[in-house]
Amino acid sequence: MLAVVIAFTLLGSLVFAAPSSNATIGFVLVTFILVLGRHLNKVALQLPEPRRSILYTLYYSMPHLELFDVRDLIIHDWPPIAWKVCGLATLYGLAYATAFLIIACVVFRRRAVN
Amino acid sequence: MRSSKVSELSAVALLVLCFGIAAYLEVWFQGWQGSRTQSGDVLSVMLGDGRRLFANHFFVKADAYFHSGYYPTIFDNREAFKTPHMAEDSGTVAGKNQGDETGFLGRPLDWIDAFGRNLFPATHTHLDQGGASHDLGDSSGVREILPWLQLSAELNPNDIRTYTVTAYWLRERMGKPDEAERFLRDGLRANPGSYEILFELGRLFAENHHDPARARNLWEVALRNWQKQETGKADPDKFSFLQITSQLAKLEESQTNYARALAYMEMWKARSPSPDAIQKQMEELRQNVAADKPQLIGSPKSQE
Repeated sequence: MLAVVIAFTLLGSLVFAAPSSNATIGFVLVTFILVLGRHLNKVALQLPEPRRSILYTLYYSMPHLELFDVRDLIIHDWPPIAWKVCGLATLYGLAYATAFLIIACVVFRRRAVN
Repeated sequence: MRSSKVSELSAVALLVLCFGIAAYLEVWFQGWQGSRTQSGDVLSVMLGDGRRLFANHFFVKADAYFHSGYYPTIFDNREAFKTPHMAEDSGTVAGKNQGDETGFLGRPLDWIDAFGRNLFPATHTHLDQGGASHDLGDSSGVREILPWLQLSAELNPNDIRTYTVTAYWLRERMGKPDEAERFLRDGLRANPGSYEILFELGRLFAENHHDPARARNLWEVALRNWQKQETGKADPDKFSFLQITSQLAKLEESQTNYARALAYMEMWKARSPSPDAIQKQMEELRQNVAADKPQLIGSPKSQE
C-alpha cells in the first residue's frame, strides 16, 4: 500500500504545481479510497445511467488501498490471511505502483529541464 | 498623539470591564446548579449532556465486537441488524430483526468485491459461539464487549438496555453474578423504578442465587411499576409485561402456589400473541393439580 501511495505522490510532485497541493490532493484521495473505496460499487448500482457507468469505471480504475487495511482481522483475532491472497494483493499493489512510476517517468522525460 | 492616548485608555477601560465582569460571574458560576465542574466524571465535565449522543454509538460498537468486526455499514442491508444481536440474544429486549443475518453482504458484485472479502471480516460469528476462531469451547471472548457497554452506560446512565444486556452477559456467560448485581443496582440508582432492571435483578436472584422469595418480590415490584408506567400508553411495552408475568407464573408454579400461577398466566394470556398456547398450559396445570391436590387451586383472579 505504501508503495502505491509513494508512487502516486511522486507522480503528483511532477503534475501539481506545489508540494502543498500534492500533499493535500494525495491525502484527500487516499482518505476517500480508504473510507469509500469498498462501497463505491454498491453506490454505483443505486444510480441511473450514465452516472452508474462513470462511477463503476472509477471503481475499477482506482487503486483499492482499502484491501491492504486488515486491522479488523487483526483486532478481532481472525485466522491468518492465506499466502495466496497475500501474494495476489502484493501483485495488485505492485501493478499500481509500477503504473504510477511509469507515468511519472514519462511525464518527467517530457519536462523541460532548465 | 492624542488618538493613541485615547486608544490606550480605551484598552485599559476594557480590561477593567472584563476583570469586573469575570469577578462578578465567578461568584455566580460557583453557585450555579448547572455547573459541570463539580462532577468527578471527566466525560461529564467535557461533554455535558452531549455525551448521550455517543452512548448509542458505543452500544453498537459492542455489538460489532460481538460479531468480531462483521457488521453492516450504512451502505449495506441492515434489516437483520436493527436490534443488536448481543441484546436480542440476552432476551432483555424485543427483537426487530428481519432477513438473513448471515448474509447482509450478499453475493460478491465483482472480482474486487470477491477478492476483498478475504481481507476483512466477512463471516457471521458471535463471540459466545467461539467468535472468529470458531472455537466453540472458548466463549470467554465475550468479555470484549464489556468495556464498550461500560462506556455506553457512563455516557448515558438512563439507557436501561445497557444495564440489562451487560448484566445478562456478566452473569450468564462470564459467571460473575455479583458484578452483574452491582451493575444493575447502579442502573437502578440512575433509573429509579425501572421495571426492566427490576425484572433483570429478579432473574439474577432466581437463576444465579436460587432465591425464589427475593426474585418474586422483585418481579412483583417490576409488575406494579410496569402497570404504573405503561398502562394507559398507546403502545405499552408488551415485551417486558409478557416476560414479567410469564416468569412470575413459572415461579409460582414451581413453588406450588397454583392459584397465583394461574392468575399470572391469565394476565400473560391477555397480552400474549399466542393466547391459545397459554390457555393449553393453564388447562394442563389445572388437570395436573386437580388430579393431585384439588384444594390448592382457588379461583384465579386477575391482578392487572
